[in-house]
Amino acid sequence: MNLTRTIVAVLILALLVALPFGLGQYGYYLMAIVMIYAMVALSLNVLIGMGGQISIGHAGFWALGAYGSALIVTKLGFPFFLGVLAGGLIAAAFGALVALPALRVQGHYLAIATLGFALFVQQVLFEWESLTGGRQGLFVPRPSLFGFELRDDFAYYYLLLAIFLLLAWITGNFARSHSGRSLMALKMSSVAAECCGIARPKHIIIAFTISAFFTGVSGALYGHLLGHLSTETFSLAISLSFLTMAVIGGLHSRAGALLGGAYLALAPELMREFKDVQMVIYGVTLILCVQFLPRGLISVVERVWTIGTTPHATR
Amino acid sequence: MKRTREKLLSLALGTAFGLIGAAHAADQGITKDQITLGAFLPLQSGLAAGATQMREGAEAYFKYINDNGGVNGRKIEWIVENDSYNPQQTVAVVKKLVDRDGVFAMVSTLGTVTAVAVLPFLAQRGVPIVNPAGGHELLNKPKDKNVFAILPLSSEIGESMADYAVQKLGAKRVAIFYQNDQFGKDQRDGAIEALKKHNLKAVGEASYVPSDVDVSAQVVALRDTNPDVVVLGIIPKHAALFLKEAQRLGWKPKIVGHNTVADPVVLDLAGPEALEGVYVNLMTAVDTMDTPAVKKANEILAKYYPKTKPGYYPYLGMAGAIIIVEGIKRAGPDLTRVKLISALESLGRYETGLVPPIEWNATYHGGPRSFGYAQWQGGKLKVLEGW
Repeated sequence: MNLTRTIVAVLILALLVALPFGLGQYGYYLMAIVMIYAMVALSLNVLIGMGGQISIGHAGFWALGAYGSALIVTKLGFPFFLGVLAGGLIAAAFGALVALPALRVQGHYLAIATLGFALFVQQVLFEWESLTGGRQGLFVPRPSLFGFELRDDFAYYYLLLAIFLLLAWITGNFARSHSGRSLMALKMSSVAAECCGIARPKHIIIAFTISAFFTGVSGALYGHLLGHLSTETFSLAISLSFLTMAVIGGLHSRAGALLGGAYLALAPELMREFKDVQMVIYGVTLILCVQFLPRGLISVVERVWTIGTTPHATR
Repeated sequence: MKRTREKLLSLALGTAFGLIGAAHAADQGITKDQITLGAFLPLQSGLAAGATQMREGAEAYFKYINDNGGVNGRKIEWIVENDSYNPQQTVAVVKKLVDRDGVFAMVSTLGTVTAVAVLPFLAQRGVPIVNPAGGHELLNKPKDKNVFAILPLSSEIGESMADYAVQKLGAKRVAIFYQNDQFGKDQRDGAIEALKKHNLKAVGEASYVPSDVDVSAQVVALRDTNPDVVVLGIIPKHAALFLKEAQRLGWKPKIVGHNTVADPVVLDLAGPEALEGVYVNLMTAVDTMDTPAVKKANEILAKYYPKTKPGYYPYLGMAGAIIIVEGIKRAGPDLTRVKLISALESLGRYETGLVPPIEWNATYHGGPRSFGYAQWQGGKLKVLEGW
């Protein structure tokens, strides 16, 4: 079993490394976007998949990471890497704050609270013109490593891939940690878990913080890819897209996060040819996915790979 | 590895052909019989109506040119992508247009932040962009060598409106009503600057935000300052609200409004009586102008898009098309991006007849600095002075 898993992991990695070759400049850009989205899907895996907490406010964390990194790099002159890290940390700090209402409210109410947070962040960034450029937006320098600017999305893709793998590794370890297991126990039965001495507040705050950190890092990397930030990007629509992507890909699997990212980045490209009816097709595929693949696209892959074994084995 | 090989190969080839002469190395988007151009427009958004009209204005002119043999024997193909007024999507579609579809240049785009977001990328690739319609210094008074503006700075429109109020309408007391964002504030700042030159101050200022559905408090506040002329830096809906409220109160100051007040929508919303006598600044033609250029534009539009009414957006889109076609023509048969840019810079004072004359040169790529004025009379716009 372990050998199979290693082989699968190596195959996936080889595929990811080989994927962009021959795609051209636009293809490189799309692949970079896939990675950036996949990081957000990973963060929702932690929050929703493990923690059972819903968020339709991840655009807020994404924005904090993006603006945080951009401002630290442009205004304070910090190197790109520190900017990205700082972007993640800023988002993480707000993640811990947003977790506070999550301790008291659940379900729809939590969804509304996170939504409010995202709108609040967007509005503040918009109005704080002296810092963020407001309506005019903010230019962000290209990513650079050790003084070399990564002008090309081809090189940037590999950096993003490495960061995604790092975050995926952290996710895997977190799932097996005390906190990760506590969260899963809380998700199955909060009362039972708390009776066993699991401190719910602590673990919920940790889940939100980690999730926000991942999303912040993703946002920071996104800003440097795009080259320009404005608050229109961080709307409710993108929060909902994130949620959709995570569900479609599969909330319980790191490979599912990757599929979700690929879905969100590439589906509009594939459907561009359909012009006016593309939103209809998009909507219908969504409904079909949720109806027939409740565990996401990854469940198709899992079924093929694990015929005869239990469906949970590949986590 | 492959990448390195590719780079080495292209470097070697580049050097080899570079020596033969840059003049013969055609840029992407050019073939023997076709030129591919591109644009991003918010075809699904609050601005969708304007974006569609803008596309039809430009498209009509390209069809007309193609039906008359093209430019230097080449037909024009114009690929338009929707960006839903989302800068993130604009970056994606522009990368697609440049890197996958291989467009030669961009023309007649609509949207401010969306265009600003892609300027660094276009500059890096050296892709010319003519007529990025929006309100931002980088778009209206560009510094980039590859950007050419057809719309003026908002502050210059404000200046012009205040000048008109003082010089032509003899105003001593000027009040300003503006939209509380960059679009309106720039006009207000320009107007205040102009008043300062005439040793005047604004006697009253009031503003609204685009989501407001009632401006009656502002109208009353401005009326109490007793101005001779009110300058409006405003969008059509709120212009109509303002004018109707003033009419209800029986208040009749002279009014000078931004080009948006020339939009037929204002007439529909406010009615001809409330609009009677209102002056509007013109930075595009109006369909009642009796000039050969406007008549020809109306004919072209009627032929290819008979359902589209001539007006601000169709004229603006078409003006961009006319200018880029002229630039391509003058750049000659061995077309390159560098040649197009120098051809546009050497146009001199160039009249499309649809927008005020363009005066680009090697250091100035900005929008026009002269404007026309018209007045609403009996539900029709009467042009008082051209540009």
